[in-house]
Amino acid sequence: MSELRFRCHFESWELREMTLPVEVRKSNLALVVQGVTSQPVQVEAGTYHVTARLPTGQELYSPVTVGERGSFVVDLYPEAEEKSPHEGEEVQRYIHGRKAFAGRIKAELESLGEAQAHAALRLFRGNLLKGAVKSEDSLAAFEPLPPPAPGTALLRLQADPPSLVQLLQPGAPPTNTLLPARPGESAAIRLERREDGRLVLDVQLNNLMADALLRYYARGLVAQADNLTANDSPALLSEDLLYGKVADPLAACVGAYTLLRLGDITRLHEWSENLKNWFGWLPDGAAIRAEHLARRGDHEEALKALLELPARGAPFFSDGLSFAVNRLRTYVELGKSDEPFERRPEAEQLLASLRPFAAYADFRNPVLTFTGLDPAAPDDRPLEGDPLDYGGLDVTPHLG
Amino acid sequence: MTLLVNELPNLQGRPGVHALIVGVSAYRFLPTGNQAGTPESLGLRQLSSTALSAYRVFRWLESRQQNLPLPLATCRVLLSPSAEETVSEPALAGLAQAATLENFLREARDWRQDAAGNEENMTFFYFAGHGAQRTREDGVILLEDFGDGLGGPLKNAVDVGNIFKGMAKSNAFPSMAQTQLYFVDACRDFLTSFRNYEPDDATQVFRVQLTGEDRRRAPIFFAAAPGTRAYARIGEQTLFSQALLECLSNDAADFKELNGQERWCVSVHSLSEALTQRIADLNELEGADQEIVVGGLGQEAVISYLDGAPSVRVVLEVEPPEAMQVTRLEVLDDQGGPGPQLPFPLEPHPYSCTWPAGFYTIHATISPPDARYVDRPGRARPVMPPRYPKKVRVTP
Repeated sequence: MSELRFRCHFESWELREMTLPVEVRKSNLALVVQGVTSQPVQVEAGTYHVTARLPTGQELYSPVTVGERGSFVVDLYPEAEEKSPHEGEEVQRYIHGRKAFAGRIKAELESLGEAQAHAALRLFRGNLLKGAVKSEDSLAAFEPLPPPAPGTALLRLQADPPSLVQLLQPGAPPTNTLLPARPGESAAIRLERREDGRLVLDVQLNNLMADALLRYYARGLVAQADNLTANDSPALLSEDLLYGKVADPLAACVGAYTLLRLGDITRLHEWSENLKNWFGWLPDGAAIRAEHLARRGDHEEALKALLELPARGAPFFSDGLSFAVNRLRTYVELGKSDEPFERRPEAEQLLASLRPFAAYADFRNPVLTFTGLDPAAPDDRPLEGDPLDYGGLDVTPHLG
Repeated sequence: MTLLVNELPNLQGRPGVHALIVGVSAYRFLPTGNQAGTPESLGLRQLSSTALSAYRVFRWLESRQQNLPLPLATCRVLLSPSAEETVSEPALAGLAQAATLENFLREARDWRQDAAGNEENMTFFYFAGHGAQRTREDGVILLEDFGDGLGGPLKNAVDVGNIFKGMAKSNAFPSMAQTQLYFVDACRDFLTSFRNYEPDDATQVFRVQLTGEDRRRAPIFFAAAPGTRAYARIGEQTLFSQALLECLSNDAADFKELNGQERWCVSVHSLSEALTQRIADLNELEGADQEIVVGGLGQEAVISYLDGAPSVRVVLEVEPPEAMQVTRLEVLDDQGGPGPQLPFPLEPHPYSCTWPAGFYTIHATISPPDARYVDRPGRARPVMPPRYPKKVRVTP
């Protein structure tokens, strides 16, 4: 057997350091092994075709011929046609980018119609489940960054948890997006104007691996998400938690949700308990632990974990809300019949407080996003009047 | 008749696939044509292609049963076709019982009973009709007698989440099928009204019990995300069912070694990727904005096999497009021999064609020479389903 190692040729250090899912195929296209670029794989002598897929769909590819024994390095390059023109744009292009809209709006073009309507951003802080959210009056929390592409804006926000950002646009329901960030951390958001003139907001996680993992799953690239969370891979974002290290708990949440989605709870080991216990500010720790316990059949403990949500707030990730609502529905329903839960009234109350968010949530978005002018009372009423009348940051000047 | 396939006596306890397929176009209590709606109709109207779509899914399952990983053991079908659908597809007439609540509850009960006979079994659930999704795990689907004005507004509707939970292994069903596929091809028209109701208001299909360890491979493929719509070509087929059948037959194929044999197969993961891609392609073609959402438990499992190598939709583009008039593309196969022929100039541009999956090299030659452009020798690349978009840049 020989060993294949992988080297990805990106310009930016962020991408060079990233682990990507990789496929090794024979010359007849048969899949030999799925792995990750940071780990060698063992293959027999022969010719192979190696492809690493990026979350936005581009591929790095190289053929390799391997002898009987030894270590062989596969150099993987982006296609010349797909290559990012600038190092600084690589992360946006290969990890975050929305290919469908890339390049369609050129900054130098003058609009011959009505000027684009204003849009505003407001920052809210507080626990949604207690109804205690307040709008930040100061704009100091917003730090505009250079726009990554025409028609887009990039901003950093002071996002002490629990925080959420609200996007106000004329005639559209305001959208509220949770900001997954650790205490004292900021969060990056990207705004992009779509063909219909509306802006869409995308939260970019500080941990690029976790961000990529979310995007693989959201774009149907489940095999790639599965590869990244493989048990024997350092890309399993949450292994550190198992060994008692203080890792990035938000990245751990993304890893855990992926494993729960894949139905592979053995890979969760026991670290979901650490995730819940060590990070009291993290709502998703409770949601993940509860789902993990429920999948193992320990429903009493699962409910107990779920009942920590009111103190922590709404989950940052839509999977957390989805899992919590569905488990609570079962427990409340069963509590009515012959398997009563002692804490059913609390479960009922929690379910009632989560349901409005589920009703107005956009489950396509991995980060919890829902509509409503008052974030604590979701609805789908379109915004009346000019977004700037509500205060907040005028985002139009920050769009490239 | 509803049990259209029943091979249980022949299987004698061996595992098989158990399918429940439901399609509702004709809603008995929803307005037709220009009729005004009733308060119970929640703004919904008749559909024109969902029963036909369910029928096509049934036909696919029946005709491809040799390609399934297990024998097709049972297939239950409930259809409420529109008059127009029955005209365009006469086989729909009298084929299956109507998709009323009562029929659905009975068939779902029997389906679960059959599925619970062996944990190696696989289940296949497909619904096409009106519905709405609330979370990644639940969605309310409306049956033919929805809106009859009797009882609560969701009395003749059922919750996919309830079906999903009821199909888990439990004390009552310790040998429940551990591979379960759910496809919910539901329109989203009444979402606004639906927000006033809870899924619990829908009729329970199964009495859910608390389960032990849940290790099912059980993805739920929803045709549309909340806040978005699922679309159909009027009187023809839903986009989701078209994409699903194309993916199951070809587009989601991957070449893997299974049980020591290399085979083209469709799996949960390859279907997830290909469906997302195919729906995006159909959106582009039809001007729609449908997006699928995958919920449930997405562990890998083989869904079906192909008889041979699949074909791949290839989309070729010369960059910049004005270079197309002088750019000649030549395709070589994996042996270096001539591959599929391409027109010169490459029109219509971008140029779409279909190639068998394989390795291809695409060389670009500038002819006659033009100082603005350069030849671009290609290198062999794997071309795999569902599609292979390739831009050939000929600028220096």
